Amino acid sequence: MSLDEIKIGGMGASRRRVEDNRFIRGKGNYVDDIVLPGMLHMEILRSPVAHARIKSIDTSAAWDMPGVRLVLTGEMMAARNLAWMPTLSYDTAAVLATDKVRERPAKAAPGNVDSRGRCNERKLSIYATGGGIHPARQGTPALFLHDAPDGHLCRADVSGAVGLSEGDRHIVDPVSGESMSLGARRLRRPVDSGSVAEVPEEAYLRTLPARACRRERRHLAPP
Amino acid sequence: MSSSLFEEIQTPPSGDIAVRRVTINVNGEPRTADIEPRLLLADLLRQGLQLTGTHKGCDTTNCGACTVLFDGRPIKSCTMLAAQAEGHDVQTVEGLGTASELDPIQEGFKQEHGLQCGFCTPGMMMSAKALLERNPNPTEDEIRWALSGNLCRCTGYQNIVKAVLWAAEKMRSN
Repeated sequence: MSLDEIKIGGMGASRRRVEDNRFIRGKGNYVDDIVLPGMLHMEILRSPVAHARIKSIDTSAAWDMPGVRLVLTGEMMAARNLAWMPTLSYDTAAVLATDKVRERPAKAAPGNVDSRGRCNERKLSIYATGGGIHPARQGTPALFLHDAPDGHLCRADVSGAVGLSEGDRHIVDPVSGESMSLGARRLRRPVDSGSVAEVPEEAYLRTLPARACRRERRHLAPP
Repeated sequence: MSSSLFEEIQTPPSGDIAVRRVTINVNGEPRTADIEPRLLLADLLRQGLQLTGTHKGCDTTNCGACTVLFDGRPIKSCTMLAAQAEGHDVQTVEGLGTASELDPIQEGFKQEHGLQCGFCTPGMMMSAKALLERNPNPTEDEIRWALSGNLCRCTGYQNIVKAVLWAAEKMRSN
């Protein structure tokens, strides 16, 4: 690069960082630093059990905490037709779990409190049962495939075709008979637009042709 | 017709929360606050005293973004109650340097490109401050050990270690 180019700047020329001065003084302004009038904080309770069926959620202790303004459950959302929301993948996703937890960290109930300090205590109790459904691996969001009659990764609300077992290397699409291999990969979750999930090696589609993707989405779409 | 969820948000309770008055020396100045006994030191600093340079990254003492000096020792303020700091000295990143003059550690981070997003930087600098106070001439291994409780997820540790070495040399030359 010639001297003139360095003087002019632009592509290839180093630039002085202007943000360091505030960062090293603790004057950065992050989202968590923003305070708005009347702002509430939200704490989300996630299910400790994958694929559990929710029998009941006891919110009484949460309501008794000082500063709690709202304890919201999927049941309350469902009463307003808000428990399920469409995604960009032509699918629907649970905003809050209602009858069944479809992935391990599924949101069961958030509580809104008026102080961040009170968020550290979780007083919601969730009573759930495993229901005999076997996730591919504990701690991993069970995703992507659906409705397996023999009880593997499933979405009970969608009648579909493909099931996936722990250790599976291939799955067969019952519609086309086509075999698809599984491998380690980070993929976008088709049921949750915009997010990326890390999943175990045995639970991922290594390559999925566009045609198969469309088929998957069709299976995932609500009937 | 079901009601809006917003209509279910309750009004805040009036005066039924027990509070305790504490006085803490923060960055050399006595600061008094009425706090709930359960309030964490990090929350008092950030919300009560508006010292938002102390960050909360994990809330579980893993990341070290909330590191402050408590009587000169680095502690993670997200797992210490504010009430425990009654009468003690707390130093935060806002207490490093002055408006016109940077602390050598701040200079080191700037000179050696020891930060990018800056979220971990206050905790890193407070841990480094404690190290250099007790060991003005640390080795690279000693620096890495001293900063092992602070996590960085964008800059990487190489430049952070170089920044502390830079600061140590400058402090010795001064």
